[in-house]
Amino acid sequence: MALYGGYRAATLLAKLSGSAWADLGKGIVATFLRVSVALAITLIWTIPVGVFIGTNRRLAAILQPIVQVVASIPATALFPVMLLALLQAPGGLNIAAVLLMLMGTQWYLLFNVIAGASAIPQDLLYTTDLLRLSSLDRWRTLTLPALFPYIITGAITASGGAWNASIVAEHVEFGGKTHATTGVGALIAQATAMGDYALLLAATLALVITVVLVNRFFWRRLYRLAEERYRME
Amino acid sequence: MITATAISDTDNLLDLQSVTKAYRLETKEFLAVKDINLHIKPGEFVCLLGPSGCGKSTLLRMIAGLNAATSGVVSYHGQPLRGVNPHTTIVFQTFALYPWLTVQQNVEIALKARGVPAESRTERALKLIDIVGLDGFESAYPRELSGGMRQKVGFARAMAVEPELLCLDEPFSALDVLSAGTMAEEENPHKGHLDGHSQH
Repeated sequence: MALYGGYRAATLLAKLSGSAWADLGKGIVATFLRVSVALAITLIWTIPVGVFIGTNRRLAAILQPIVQVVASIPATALFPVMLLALLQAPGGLNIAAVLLMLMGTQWYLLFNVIAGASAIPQDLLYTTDLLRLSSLDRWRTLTLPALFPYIITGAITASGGAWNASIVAEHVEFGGKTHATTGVGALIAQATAMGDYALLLAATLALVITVVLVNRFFWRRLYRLAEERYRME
Repeated sequence: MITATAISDTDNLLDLQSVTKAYRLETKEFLAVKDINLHIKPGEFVCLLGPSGCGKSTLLRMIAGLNAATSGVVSYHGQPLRGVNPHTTIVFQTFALYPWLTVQQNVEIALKARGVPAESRTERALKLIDIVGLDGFESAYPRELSGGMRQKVGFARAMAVEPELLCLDEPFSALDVLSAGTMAEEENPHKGHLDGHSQH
């Protein structure tokens, strides 16, 4: 049964032209870049904001419910509004796709950073205050290492979500017109719309394999480092 | 609750005048420390005794400027203390080592914060580690050490700062009797010391 399935899949993939495979390669690279940009933007804003909230108990009590309400707004609900504004601009869908990934994934990281910052032991905070480290050294010696396991956990979830979001972000029907940009998510959406099983299978496999490889060779290593080195006793 | 009194003096390193610390839990107010008067001169060695939870650690934190007093004045060299006291350090009960830094890096970061140039940091860190008896454990991580050894790293780091007033919260709690004796001798006799000991 599995053999037969494998055989059918192989014959299906064999039907794909060389140029289709080349497009798929380009799509993977394009989506990879978008996911990376979304993750980078997420890290840039969630780390300082999360630390700020996580280390101020009073502020946390006020902001936490607000953040939770904002985070619960589904990204797809805001997406059409964003498209309306961005589709006119050059590369608009590209920007909109990154924004959709961002909206869906940044909250995982924000909540993890808040949790990590509020979990730093009080004595370690006091000791760092007493040492009077420069603010750069404080980040390097205390804050970032303490947050590292939380950031990695959040980033793994966030990047997985961003890859999946590419399917709805890179290919959209809007106002009766189809807009698409280069990306593996766009290829999956197009193949689905056209009933192109060969392309659908190839693109889905490519997406899955890429995500698995990135997890294995990038995130898994960082996760292990976080467990071994940056664990709080 | 601690109560202590001594005679006032202008050459004092530290003066506490009717220092009180209250915590508010929901609607209930909880007095941690009430009306403490304490005066410490340079070179003095003062030991706070009391059962667990009587406010020793709270007092040390106010002396170091980590917590503000609810009422009363904490003065250092005759000046009311604002914010963290730069001439004081505390070795905490939990030792508060950076778990991701080695023994040597934990000591070196204190030297760096004090502005010791990079070239001489290693040498001084190694010397301090040797003094506390952890020679050979420079590249070990805190989690690889026993409680007593971690406490020694805490001492080495505190000494690296060369504080005028060294506060030890439950000092030597994790040390064996022999090490505790050696450690007490190593404490600089020309500076003030304040130890919070609970009665065991």
